[in-house]
Amino acid sequence: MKGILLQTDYHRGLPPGKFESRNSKSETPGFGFRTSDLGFPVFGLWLCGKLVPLLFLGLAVTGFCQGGSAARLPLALNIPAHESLTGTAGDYVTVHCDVSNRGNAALTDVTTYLSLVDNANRMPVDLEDWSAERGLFIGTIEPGQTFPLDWKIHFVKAGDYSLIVVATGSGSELPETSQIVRFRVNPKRNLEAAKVLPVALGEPVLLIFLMALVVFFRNRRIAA
Amino acid sequence: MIRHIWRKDLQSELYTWKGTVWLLIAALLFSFTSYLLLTDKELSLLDQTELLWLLAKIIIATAMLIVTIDASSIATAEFEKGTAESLFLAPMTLSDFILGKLLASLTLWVLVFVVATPYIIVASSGTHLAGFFLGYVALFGTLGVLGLLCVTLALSLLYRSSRNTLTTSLVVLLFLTIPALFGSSLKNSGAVAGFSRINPIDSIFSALDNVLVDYQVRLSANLRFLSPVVGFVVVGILFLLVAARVFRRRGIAGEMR
Repeated sequence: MKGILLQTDYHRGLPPGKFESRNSKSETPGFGFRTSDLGFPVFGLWLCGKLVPLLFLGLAVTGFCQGGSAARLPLALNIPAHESLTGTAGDYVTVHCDVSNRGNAALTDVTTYLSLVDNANRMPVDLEDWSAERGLFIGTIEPGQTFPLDWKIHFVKAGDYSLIVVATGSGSELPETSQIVRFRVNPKRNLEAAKVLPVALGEPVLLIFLMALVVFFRNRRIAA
Repeated sequence: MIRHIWRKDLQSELYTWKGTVWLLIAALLFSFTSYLLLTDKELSLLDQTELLWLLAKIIIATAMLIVTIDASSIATAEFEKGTAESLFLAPMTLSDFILGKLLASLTLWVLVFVVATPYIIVASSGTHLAGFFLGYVALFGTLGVLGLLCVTLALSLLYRSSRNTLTTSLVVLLFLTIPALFGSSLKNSGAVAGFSRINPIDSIFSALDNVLVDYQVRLSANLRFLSPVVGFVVVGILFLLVAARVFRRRGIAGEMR
């Protein structure tokens, strides 16, 4: 597996065994120009509006759209079922995922992302504190090759979570996803509740009782 | 006579709701802290040693606040109620009066420490740090409280007013607490670093950090933190001696100029 990594990393100009980390925020696609700058005549727009869909339909029928954006990538993302992610808040765990190219052609610009959802709040989790790397750039995957990916994540907060790995690549706008892995982060208990709680609850009550006793005896002595 | 003053103040402290309610407040604060350390999700990420350090800081800070408030009125109440004159008519020196009041206020610290002891023991369970925790809180707490008591009693002799003494004592306490609120990166910068090094309260907190978090339990490893606290006690005693001299010169019925 190291040989595969070396070959691909060599082509990407990266040091062996290193993936390029990519921030998801910088992945927003941009066209680089505004529609107001086009300056097409109204007639041209009308013509394009009518002709382009017809042309697109024609190409699709003749099979020219087979490698288009709607086609799915032959990528398989697998998080091994035997890997249990359950742990305690504060733990560091490694999420392992195998990314395989099951197609007949090489896949380029393959990038993988980690996505985490807080099940109780039904909200995506900001991975800033959870993982140093939100995305891992793989680059090219030859047919039949499999990349093992390891994400080190920090269990920041207790709760129930769902994890998924997403991969994108050239040749399709549709991302491929792994299966959903559900896991639980247990709260960290540094102090023993069985010892702390009796003191925390009992001592104030005991003090109130002692205070009442002292004042009672004082009043009794004054009355005598 | 010192014993007489001490017993009289202790009886007035312990035989009233007002006096003993401080201990209840301390216990409630420690209970609340322990409960938070046990249940809060963010705090639960801390290591147990860091939780102990947090608890130690709260115990010291609570004790200092309670003792300062109590000591602000323990001597000045005699002047405000007019009982000081009758006290000094008895064969009693000013030193007896001051030492008696000092002992009574120190006893309140001892009582707060006794209240805190069960919390310290249960929180340190499983760390083998309970003995060091108790010992260092007792040592540094007693020295810190003693220094603060000397300053407060000196102010009492100078002001002879509970309100002024309390306000000034609290300002002194707040001033001493400020560096402890700074982050470690800020403490490394010039002026703050210097002030932090000589600050007694910051030194107490750093010593407890050294013992509880870094496991530097030997006394020799904490001498650098002990010296500013001892220095504070010496300064407090000197200030008290000066205040006593000023008090003697003015007389019992003297007004502050």
